[in-house]
Amino acid sequence: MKPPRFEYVAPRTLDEALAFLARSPDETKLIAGGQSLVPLLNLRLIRPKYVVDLNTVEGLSEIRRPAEGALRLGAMVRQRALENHPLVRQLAPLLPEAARYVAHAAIRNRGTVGGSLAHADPAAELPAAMTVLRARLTLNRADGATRSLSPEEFFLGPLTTAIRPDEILTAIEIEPPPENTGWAFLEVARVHGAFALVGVAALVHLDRNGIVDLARIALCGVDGVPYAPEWFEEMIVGQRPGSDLFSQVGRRLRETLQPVSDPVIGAEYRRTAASSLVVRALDTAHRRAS
Amino acid sequence: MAEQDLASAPPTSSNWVGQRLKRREDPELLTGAGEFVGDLTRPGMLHAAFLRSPFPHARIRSIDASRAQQMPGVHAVLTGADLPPDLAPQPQVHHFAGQRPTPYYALMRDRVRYAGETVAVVAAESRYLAEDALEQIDVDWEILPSTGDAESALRSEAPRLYDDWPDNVAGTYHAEMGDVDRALAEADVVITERFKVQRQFACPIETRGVLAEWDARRDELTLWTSTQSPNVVRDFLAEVLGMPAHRLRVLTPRVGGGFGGKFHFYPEEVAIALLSRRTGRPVLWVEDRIESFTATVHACEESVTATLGAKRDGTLTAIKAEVIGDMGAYLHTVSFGPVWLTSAMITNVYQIPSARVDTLAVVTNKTPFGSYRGWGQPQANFVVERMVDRMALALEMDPAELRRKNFIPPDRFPYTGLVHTFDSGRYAECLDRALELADYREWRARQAALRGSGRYIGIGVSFYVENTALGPSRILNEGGMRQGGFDTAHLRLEPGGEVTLYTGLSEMGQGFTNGLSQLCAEQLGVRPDQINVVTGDTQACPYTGYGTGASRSASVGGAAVIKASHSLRQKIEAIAAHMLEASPADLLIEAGRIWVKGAPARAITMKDVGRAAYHRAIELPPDMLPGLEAIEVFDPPQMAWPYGANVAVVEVDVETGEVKFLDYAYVHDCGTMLNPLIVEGQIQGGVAQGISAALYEELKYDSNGQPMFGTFMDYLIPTAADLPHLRLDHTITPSPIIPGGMKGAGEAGIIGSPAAVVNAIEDALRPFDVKFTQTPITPDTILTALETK
Repeated sequence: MKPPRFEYVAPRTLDEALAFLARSPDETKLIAGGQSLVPLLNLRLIRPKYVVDLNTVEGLSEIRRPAEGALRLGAMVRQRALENHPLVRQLAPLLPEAARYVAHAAIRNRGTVGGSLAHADPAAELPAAMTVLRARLTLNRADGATRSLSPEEFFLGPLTTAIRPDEILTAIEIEPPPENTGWAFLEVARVHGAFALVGVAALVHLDRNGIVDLARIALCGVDGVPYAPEWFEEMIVGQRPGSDLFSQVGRRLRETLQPVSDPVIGAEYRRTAASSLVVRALDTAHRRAS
Repeated sequence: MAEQDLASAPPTSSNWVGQRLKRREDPELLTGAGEFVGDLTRPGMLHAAFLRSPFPHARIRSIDASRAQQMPGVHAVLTGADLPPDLAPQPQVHHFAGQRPTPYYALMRDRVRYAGETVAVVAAESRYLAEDALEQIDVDWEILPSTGDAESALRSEAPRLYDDWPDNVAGTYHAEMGDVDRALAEADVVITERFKVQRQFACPIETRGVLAEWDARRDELTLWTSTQSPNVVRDFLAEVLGMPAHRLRVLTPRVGGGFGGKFHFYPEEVAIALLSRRTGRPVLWVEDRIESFTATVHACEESVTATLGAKRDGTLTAIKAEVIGDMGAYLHTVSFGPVWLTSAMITNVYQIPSARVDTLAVVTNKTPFGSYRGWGQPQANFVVERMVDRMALALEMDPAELRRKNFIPPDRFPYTGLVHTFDSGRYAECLDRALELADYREWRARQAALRGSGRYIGIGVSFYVENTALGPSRILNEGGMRQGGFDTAHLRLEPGGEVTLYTGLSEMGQGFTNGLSQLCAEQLGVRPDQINVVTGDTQACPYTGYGTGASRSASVGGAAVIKASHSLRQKIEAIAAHMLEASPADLLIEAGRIWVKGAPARAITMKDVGRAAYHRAIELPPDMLPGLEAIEVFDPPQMAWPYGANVAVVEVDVETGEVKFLDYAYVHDCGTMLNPLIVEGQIQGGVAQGISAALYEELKYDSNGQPMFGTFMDYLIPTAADLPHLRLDHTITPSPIIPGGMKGAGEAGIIGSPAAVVNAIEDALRPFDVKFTQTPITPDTILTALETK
C-alpha cells in the first residue's frame, strides 16, 4: 500500500500550476484534499509521473459573494468550511446539509469541494447538491482561456468529467436560489460516513398563492452521474404541493429509475429507497419553503 | 459511580478490588505515545513486503525473482524454493481427533489455496522499494478450479483442495445426550430453521506486525510481534525452524487490539525471521490494511440447521443441530475449535434434556478460519436465541417468559449439559433485572400504540453464557490441545519496597494489568501504583502456554496472582513480625505500611522489609534466606461461566430498511469484578462488535473464492455514531471454583448481541410476518423481505 515513485510539485500560484500542467498534462495528477487520490496512489491504481499540489496555491480557498452576485467557492474550500461558513449557511443551506453526509469530520477537514466534484464519484453528495443549485464550474487553462460549465455538462459518467487534461477546476459559482426556497438533503448509508446507497437533494419554492414555482431534485448513488429526472419539473411546477403530489413523484421514480447494483445492495433496493427518500426530501423542502 | 484517577483514590484504602480506577496506560495511548511494532526501529533495519497469490487456487509452475533481486535497495527476495528444506509446517494449538492434515508454510512452494496466501517476500531499504520489487517478480501460475463456499465444496463434483482426500471435509464432531429423536417425536411443537452467519474477522485497529533481529554471533533471534500469545509464537517458531526455544526471545510492545486474530501463529512470523537470518539485518514487516483483510484469519462463517422441540406449556425438550463450518484453505492455529464450540454450546443456558450435534469442518479456497472474540459462541447463541424466539411465537408466549421457564435453575449448579459443566448462575434474576432496566413492559405498550401510526418498534431479548477461565490443563490435553490452561504469576517485592508482577499474559489494550494490580494490591496491602506489571517478554515473564484469549486473564491470571500474593505476604509478614517483635497474626498492612494491631506507632514499611530481604540479612529471622519472591501456578478445576441478558429496542424504517436503536439494556454477571470500569468497557466493545455482526460486517467472496472486499469501503465497521448508548448493570455471582470469584468478561458482549438485534428487528416487523435467519441484515435484506410478503 505504498505508491510507486512520483515527482511532487508544489506551485505557489495558479499560473505556475497551470503552466506545469500544460507541460505534461497526461502524466500529471492534481492533488487537492487527497482523500480519493492518495488511496488510488497507494493501491497503485494510478501511476502519475508528477503530482501537483494545489494546497500550496494561493487564492483557491476563498468563499465570497460580490454584492448581489453569485456565491463563489474556491475549488480548494474544505468540505468542513462548506458546512460551517456563515455565507454558505445563509445563501445555500443545502450545501452544509449535504456536506454533513460526506464521510467524517476529520476527512471533511482535508477534503475539498473541488476535489469531490472533480473526482465525480457517483455516490458523492456534492455533485447532486451542485446539480440542484445549478452551479457553474469554472475551468482554467495556462493560456488564459476559461470555461464555465453546468453540472450537466461537467459530469459525464462515473469518475469522469469534462475537465480536459490541461485544465484546473478553480471555482464554483452558485446563484443563490430565491428567498424562502426550501431545501433538503437526505441520504441512506449503511453506517455513518459510509458511501451513500442513495441520496437526494431537493429545492422547493412556492409562489404567493402557495403553488410550486421552482422545484428541483437530484439523486446520488443511483446512476453514474447525479440523476435529475427530466419529467420532474413538469410534474410538479404549477401544482399545489402536498403528500399526494410528492407520492406521485415517488411512484414515477420507482417506475423509471434504473439504478446501479453492487454485490450487497441491489438495484431494486435503491429504486425503492430512492422513491421513499424523494418523497421525504420534497416534504422537508416544502415545509422549509413557507 | 464515577471513575477515578488512582492519584485521587483514598491513600490508605485497602479495598482495591471493585474500584473504578482509570487505566494507567490511557494517557500514553490517548496522546499517541504508545509504541507499537510499527513504531520500532533498529540500526540497519530493512522493510519487508509479501507477494501474495491473486488467485484462490493455483499451481506455481515457476517463480523468477532475478529482476527484483537486482533492483537498487533490495537486499533479498525469498520464495518457497529458498526455505530451508527441513522447515516444518505451521503447528497448531488445537487438534481434533481424526482431523486431516492441511500443511502450510511460511511461503508456499508449489501451490496456493487462497487469494492472499504468501508466495514470496522482499527485504529492501524501504517499504516503497520492497513493493516496487514485488512488481518485478514473475510467477508462472496454473489456475486451478476453486470453490468459494462450504456448501458447494461438499458436492461430489466440487474441486478438491487436497488431492489425496476423498472430499473437502477436514474434520467432524459429534455429541449427543438423551434421546433426541424420541423427544422430538413426542414434542407438541417442533420447529426447524437453517441459519447462516457470515464471515467476519477481528480487524483490530493495529494490524499485525513483526520485527525480527537475528544475532548471528550468538545464533539468537529476537522477535517483536503483535501477538496475544508470546509463548506460542516462541515455541512454534522454535519448532518450525528446528532451533532451541531458549535461543528465541519474543517481545510484544503495545498491541492495538487482538480480538483473537492475534492469538494465531502466522506464516509471516517465520518468513520475517528467515529474512533477517538471510540478510543479517533486522527486518520489519507491518501488515497493511489491504493485506489484513486476507492475511489475518477469518472467523464466524458457519451454517447451522437446527430443530427445536417443546411441550405446549413451553418446556423445551430437545434440540438437534447440523453445523457446517467454512474453514477456508487450511486448519490454522486453532483448527476448527470455534466450530466445535458452536456445537458444544447448542443448549445455551437451558435445561434441555436431549441434544445432538453433528459438525463438519469443510475446506474452501478462502483465507483460513480462526479465532475471533466469542470463538463460535455468538453463532451458537444466534441459533438458539433465534429459535427460542421463533418457538415463543409458535407457542404464543412472551419470549422472555419462555426463556425464564427453561433456564437452568440456581440450585442445579454445577450443571453438566451436552459438553460442559457450568459452575454457577442466577439467570432469571439477571434477565428480570435487564427487563426492568429496559422498561420492557413500557416498550411493549409503546410498540402496540405506535404500530397504528406506521412506526415499527421491536424489542429483542437474548440470554447468553460465556466460556471463560479456559482450563483445566489435563482436560484440554484430553481434548487434543497442545497447551495448558494454567497461568503463572511471579511476584517480587523489590529492595525499595515496590512490587513487580511478572505475568505471561499479554496486554493488548484490554487493560487487565490494571485489574491484576488492584487484586495484588488488596492482597498484599500496598497501593496499585506501587505495583509494576511486566508483560510481553518471554525471557522475563513466566511461561503461560495459552497466552491471552478465552477471557482468562482476570479469572485464571487473577487466581494465580492471589496465590502468589498469598505466598509473598506470608514471607513479608514473617520478616515484619521479626522486625516488630510481634506475631504475624497481630500485623495489619495497608498502603505499604505494616503495624501491630492496637499499636499503630509500632510500624515499618515495605521498604524496610525489602531492605532486610535483600541488603541486610542481619535483620531477617535467623532461619530465613534472603530474597523476596513468589511464583505460583493456578490451573482451574473447571471453567467459569459468566452470563448476561441483552434487551435491544430498535425502530425499523419500512421504506428505507434502516434500523435505528432506541434503547439497549444489558445486565451482566461475571462474578467478582476487579475493575467495573474495565468490565463495562469490555461489554461496550463486545456489543459494538455484536451489533456489527448483525448489521454490517461481511467478508464476501464470489463462488470461486475471489474476495469481494479489500478496504473499509466494503467492510463496514460501525463508529460511535451508529451505536446505542448501553444501559448497563451487573449482578454478582462469584465463581465458586475460582479463588477470588472472578469469571472472565472479555467476550461477553459479542455473544448475545447479534441475536438480540435480529430478534428486535423481526419483532418490529411482526405485522409483516417476516423471518431473518442470516446476518448481516442490510437495508436491502429488510426491504426484500417486506416486498416478498
